[in-house]
Amino acid sequence: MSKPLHQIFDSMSDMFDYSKQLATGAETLGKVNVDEVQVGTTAKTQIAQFDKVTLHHYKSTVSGKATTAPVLIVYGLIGRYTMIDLQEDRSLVRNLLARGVDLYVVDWGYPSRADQFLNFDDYVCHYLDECVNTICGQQSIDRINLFGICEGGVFSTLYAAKYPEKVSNMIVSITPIDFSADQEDADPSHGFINLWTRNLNSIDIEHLIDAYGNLPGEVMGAVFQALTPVRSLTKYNLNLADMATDRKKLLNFLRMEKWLADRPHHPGAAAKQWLINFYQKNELIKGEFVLDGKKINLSEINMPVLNVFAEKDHIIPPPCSTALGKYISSEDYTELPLNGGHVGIYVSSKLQDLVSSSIFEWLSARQVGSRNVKQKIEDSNGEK
Amino acid sequence: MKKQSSMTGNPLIDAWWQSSEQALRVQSDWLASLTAMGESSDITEVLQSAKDSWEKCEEQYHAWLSAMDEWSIYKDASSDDEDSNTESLDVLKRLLNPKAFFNSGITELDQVFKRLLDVPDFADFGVFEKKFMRINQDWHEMHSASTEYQAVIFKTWSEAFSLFTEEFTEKQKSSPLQPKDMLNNWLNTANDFLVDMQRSDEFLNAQKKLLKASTEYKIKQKNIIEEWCEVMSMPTRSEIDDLHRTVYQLRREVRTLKRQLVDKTEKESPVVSKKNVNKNNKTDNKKSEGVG
Repeated sequence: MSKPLHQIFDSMSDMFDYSKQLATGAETLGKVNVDEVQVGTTAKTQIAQFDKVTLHHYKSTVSGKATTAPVLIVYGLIGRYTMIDLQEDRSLVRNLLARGVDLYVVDWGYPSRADQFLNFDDYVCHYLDECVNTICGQQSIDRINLFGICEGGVFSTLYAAKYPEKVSNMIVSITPIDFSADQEDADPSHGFINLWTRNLNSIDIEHLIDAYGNLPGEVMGAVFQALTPVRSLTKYNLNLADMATDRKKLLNFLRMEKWLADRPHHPGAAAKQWLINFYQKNELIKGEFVLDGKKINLSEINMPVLNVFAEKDHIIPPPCSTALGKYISSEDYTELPLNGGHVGIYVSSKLQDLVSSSIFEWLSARQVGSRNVKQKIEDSNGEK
Repeated sequence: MKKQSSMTGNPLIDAWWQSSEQALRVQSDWLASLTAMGESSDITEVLQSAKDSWEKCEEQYHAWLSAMDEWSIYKDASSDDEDSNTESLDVLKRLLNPKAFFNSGITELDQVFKRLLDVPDFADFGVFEKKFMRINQDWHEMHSASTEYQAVIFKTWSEAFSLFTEEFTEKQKSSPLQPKDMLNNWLNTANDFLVDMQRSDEFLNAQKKLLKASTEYKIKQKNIIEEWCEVMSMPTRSEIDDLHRTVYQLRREVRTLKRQLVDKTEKESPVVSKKNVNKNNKTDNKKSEGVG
């Protein structure tokens, strides 16, 4: 079969363009300085350390008084909190600081095999509680705002249920509450981790974790890669070639890759609880999860709650997150659905302003004894 | 299939011979189609050629299955030593199963190990050697699980490719696609198939089996290394884990005692104890100007 001449020329032209693109990309990549690819760069001060866990206070970027009571950001043990401070123009941290929010973050550090016995009791009732006590002590207050993300949202939920008197407002984001609700999500690309975990025997999970001491970061990395199979196969060839000609795009890509590669091991005992007690047995909504010797009852959560979730979240399907509203006793419960993916809602340039402004407005409307926060911002800007 | 006449007088050797001849014939066709692919400038032809080759591989597999049925017939008709023939036939069936290509005869080796391991344990004789053989058996199980897992994935890729070639050939007839569009079509098709595959019982069970086998292997491997360490008076991973556990439990006890002390002090003098808690936390006591 002979091919029309114009088709041959088109194909040759495509191939030439691709080769040119690869060459330009290689040149751009070669010029990237490793110092340019930094994440989590917003200025902060370490104010406390408990074993490998550190508590940091972000440096205010506006002058004058803070517009909110302290907010403690609690990320999970899968991945690192730097996701919300990826780069200057894609940073929830910077956007909240610009609005005068008094911001803290807990960094769980890099657990090693020596930390394999740490469990949810340690993380919630010890480390997180110490962080809250430290902030309260520093600011002479008796309660703070908690902002939990992903597994950190579960930490925050457990904390708020156990110590409701210490939490004035709780924000949870992309947080699983009902670990079986993925079955209510019709999208076949959503909820593979739920399905995968349910299919395993508990004893196999225990053996896997015992074999390594912890749940290796690489294992979770591989599971996440499997969620988007073709994207994982093409990102270092086709996608990289596509973006490598644009230096800004390339740096964004490399920062994201840096964050993805920065995946600490999940302490073994806590990982067993995460995969078996939460994912397999769904103990949180059943009121069967035991923390510090007592069953956690979600109806103890009576403070205002903002639940931020991603409509295209393939890791935590939306029904898993929105279940929270059914189990808490709070009369002030708000849901904020965002049109993005699990990480996308925090790193997408389009959603940057929407996420931070929505969180800020919700939070500022619930500051006890605060005057009009918008006025405060204007005051601070005026002082600058 | 038509029953073929004997060439050597031994039905098993005849069947093996026929199968090999057929395999060579298909390989020759496969090589010819690859050459054609290299020479073709038309993408439809290239895809059609790849599809033809794949179909030939499938034909070969089915031919093998039929051949195996024939051996069963031979065995029934001509066997003097039925047990021996059945065993040989089973071995051949396993060797000719495409999945077994990845295993390279490991199943047979595995069975030898299994026979060796199926003898009574003696208190002080050959203990280490038996443990070492058990590790080999675990390694074979892991390899076998890995093959099954890869077979599920391979099957999905080939099904995706098959559908893609069919759809693409149709599309090419009406409006020819550019290479980039074709690539995107292929990636989307493959992604859909892979996502569906991940939710299938076949994949989930193969993955579970692989995870279990690799974990068992790693644990046994650790155990045997620890035996060496003990002989050489070196600390083992388990001993270090024990130490970590002890330190962890001690830390928790210290924490509990500290908390009890703070609670007791708070009851006696609430203001003083709060200051102590803050000192323990090593905070810089810097006051910020929060509201709320």
